[in-house]
Amino acid sequence: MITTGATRRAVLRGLLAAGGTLALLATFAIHPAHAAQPGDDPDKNARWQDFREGMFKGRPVDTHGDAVIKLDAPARAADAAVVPIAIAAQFPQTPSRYIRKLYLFIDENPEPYGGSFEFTPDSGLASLETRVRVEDYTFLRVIAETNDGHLYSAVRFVKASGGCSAPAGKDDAAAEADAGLVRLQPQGRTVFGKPQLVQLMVRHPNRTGMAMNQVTRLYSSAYFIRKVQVTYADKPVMTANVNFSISENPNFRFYFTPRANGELKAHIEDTKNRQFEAQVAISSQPGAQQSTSTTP
Amino acid sequence: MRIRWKAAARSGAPAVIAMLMLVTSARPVWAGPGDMPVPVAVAQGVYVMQGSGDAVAPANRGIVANNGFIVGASGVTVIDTGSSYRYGRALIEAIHKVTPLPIELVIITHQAAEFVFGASAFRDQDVPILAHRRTAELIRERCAICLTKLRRTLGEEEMAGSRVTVPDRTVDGSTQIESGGRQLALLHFGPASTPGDLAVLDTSTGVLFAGGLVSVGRIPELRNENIPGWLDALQRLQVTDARIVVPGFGPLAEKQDVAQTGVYLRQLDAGVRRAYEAGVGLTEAMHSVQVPDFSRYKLYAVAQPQNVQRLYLQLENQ
Repeated sequence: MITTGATRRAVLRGLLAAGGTLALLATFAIHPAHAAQPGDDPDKNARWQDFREGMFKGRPVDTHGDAVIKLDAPARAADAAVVPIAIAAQFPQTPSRYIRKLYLFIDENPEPYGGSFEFTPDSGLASLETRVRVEDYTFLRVIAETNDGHLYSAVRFVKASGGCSAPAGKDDAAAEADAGLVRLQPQGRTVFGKPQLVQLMVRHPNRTGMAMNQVTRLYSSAYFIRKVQVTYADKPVMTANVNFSISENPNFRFYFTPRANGELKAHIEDTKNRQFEAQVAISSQPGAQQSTSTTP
Repeated sequence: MRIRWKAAARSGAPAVIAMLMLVTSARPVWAGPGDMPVPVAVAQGVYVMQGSGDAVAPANRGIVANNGFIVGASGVTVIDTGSSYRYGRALIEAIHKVTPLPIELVIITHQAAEFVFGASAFRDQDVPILAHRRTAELIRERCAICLTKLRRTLGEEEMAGSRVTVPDRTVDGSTQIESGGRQLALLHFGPASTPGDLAVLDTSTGVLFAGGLVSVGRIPELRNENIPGWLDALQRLQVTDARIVVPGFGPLAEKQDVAQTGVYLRQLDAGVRRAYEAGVGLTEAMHSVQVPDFSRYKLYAVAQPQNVQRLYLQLENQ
């Protein structure tokens, strides 16, 4: 998503082809010199205000959401294509009080809305780690929606100052052929009734459609994972509706609460409607838990 | 053409002492922050311009890396060119103040923003620019992005005239060349700090320009590295005839100081592996993996978490 003037024009073509909005075009034509600065007031960002209005209508967003979520992201990122973020829920999920949804918004990205992550009381803890693409200097924000309908936000400013280190570009066909290997790995020992950390990794190019392949000098079409559904014992624990804001080889760390032996299952769909799955049996017996990956 | 290096260090205590005095007296002369460093003679005909060693910032105008030039009997060889066209121009002027001899060749030690963009000033004067083939390829593929980022950081005015300048002469491995009347050994030890690192040894004085391989008092930023190859390269530098080492960043060093870069790389690598194998997540690893012996080095706060991330992701993709 690092773009020069020439690539920006191509990006615009790509967006038009993809049905991008005209509003996006106007914003994207702005030169980096006008981009966000760390001292800016994050509440005054026009793209955020537009999004907030469209998504949340008149509902207030508590910008001091520290008691609900904390967001961790590096102030300086060496690689704009892989910026790790960690969203830490500040209380456990209970049926009476829980975080229902996290929204990810990256102000300066060509498509600022990065998607949402839904949780349930069975998630145990609505914390989430992943890696995202960011455009240059930007505010990155997460909005938590609790089950009572209240909204809380956490904001970080990220400077993606790197760019020299990105790999010279893989062969797109090879990257697609490799797509779909899924690893679903519970971390640590299972204790029934306690939130357990799990890592989900999907081998996938998750292409934006906006980056030039440095070897072929061509723009590849957008191709990314759009939905991730994770269930335990057939009950949802984490559902992500995401886009190419998520980095190549999408990686998610989140929680679920096992209450009895059961199967943890991940179902993944990409924009070519390819579906990938992985499942792992969970029991409180000690022993390595290996996921099996299948590509139906 | 491959060359072999004598493993034996040159003997002669007086010569060593004289060289050490040179090293200590070769502190850069600064007129003020952000000004052009003045060329300092570190050996007969060998001049070094030392950058601040900090991260690129408007206050230092991007003058952070070291570069230098070698004045031979018939001409001048320039080693690395700084981060802007403006710096390249100033470098040319500085050389003209030292000698009327023509600039015969520019050598780029490796692909990194702080070393390559001054080359555009030399290209304007039709000076040949030499690098390892992989460095030339990476400059062509990657440097447009680096240039955009540098413009963002330093501003249009500071970067005016800077452009991606792909070297027009390449080598595939170690070789010995004659340039400006000096014998120069170009040393390539395989992929190390980047795929195409060159170190340049002025054989008559023993001054070694180590480029990306060596960083003194500053955390190396891992960008395109191969750690086993890099450690190997640092060991092989030890058995060259180098008597003064000009690192890519930081003050001049003696050959044995080169090992510090390797110590850092080993400790970093071990720390990331431990965290990864223990199931520590990336964000937490970026906070928790520290290399305390090097925490006082320049760039530690910024480069350490970035280096951790880079190695962590490599482990994940294995």
